[in-house]
Amino acid sequence: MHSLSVHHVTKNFRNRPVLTHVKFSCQTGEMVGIFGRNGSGKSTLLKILFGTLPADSIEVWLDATIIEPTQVIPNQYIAYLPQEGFLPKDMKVRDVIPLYFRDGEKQNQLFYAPKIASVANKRVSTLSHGELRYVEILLIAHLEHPFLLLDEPFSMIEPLYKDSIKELLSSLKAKKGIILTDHYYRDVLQITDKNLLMINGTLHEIKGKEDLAAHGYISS
Amino acid sequence: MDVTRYNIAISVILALITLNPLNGIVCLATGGMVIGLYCYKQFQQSQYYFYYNIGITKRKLITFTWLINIALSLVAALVFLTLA
Repeated sequence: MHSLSVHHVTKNFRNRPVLTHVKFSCQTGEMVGIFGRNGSGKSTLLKILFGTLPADSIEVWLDATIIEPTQVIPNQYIAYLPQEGFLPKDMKVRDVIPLYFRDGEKQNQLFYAPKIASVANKRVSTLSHGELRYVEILLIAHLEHPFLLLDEPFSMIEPLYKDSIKELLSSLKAKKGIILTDHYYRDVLQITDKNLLMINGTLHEIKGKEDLAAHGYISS
Repeated sequence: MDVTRYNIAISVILALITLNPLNGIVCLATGGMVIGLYCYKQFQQSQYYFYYNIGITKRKLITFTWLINIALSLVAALVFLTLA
């Protein structure tokens, strides 16, 4: 069991405050959804936590230890799905898998995962958006990192792949802590245990669709 | 590899424009790499995350790529000097 706690995250862009003393936590076995309007700072928060964007202030606890966000990548604490596709476009899916996993057994798990046989011989550039997102999530899901950050995993995905992604994420919960952000709130609410809404640079806990409406994120 | 591809293309173009292979070889180990990194950032920035997820930082990646490009330029210089 691992826990990730984030405190005092502050970030300004040219004197415009984007994040103001944000705090939240996630444990392995838990899935946390983060909602917020465009430009509210959701992706900024994920990038800060992954260590690819510096914060003005931040305190990150992994279990009982304070860690620097710059140590997240080299120590492989967190895997991250960015909004844009991150796989090399000219490679075939079957060639990407061994680059991520040297262990033959792990490779087999990937090659025999649902829906992979139909895309294994395709080049990344020829995958549909749903196929690409599914392959990307499958890859990072099988890494050993205890936490996953997913930026818009359901955005523009066809229903069949959306269901596969939801099944995959639910099956991962036993081993990992997952933090995801997406505007597709129905899909997120279906699988998350805890939900937060970003308003004016701070996170507010919400219980469901009604709270999203009450805070003006969706129409009532 | 993509940075190296950009670098090779830039260095070959420079060598052809100046009609001097040595300019291309020097470019391969120096400015071509910088322009290659710029092109990668402009067109393939999200692919950095491919490496980040397996624990490779940008610094490690750039250092490794630079060493490959310097090795390539040394090989190119050796070939040029042998043929000249």
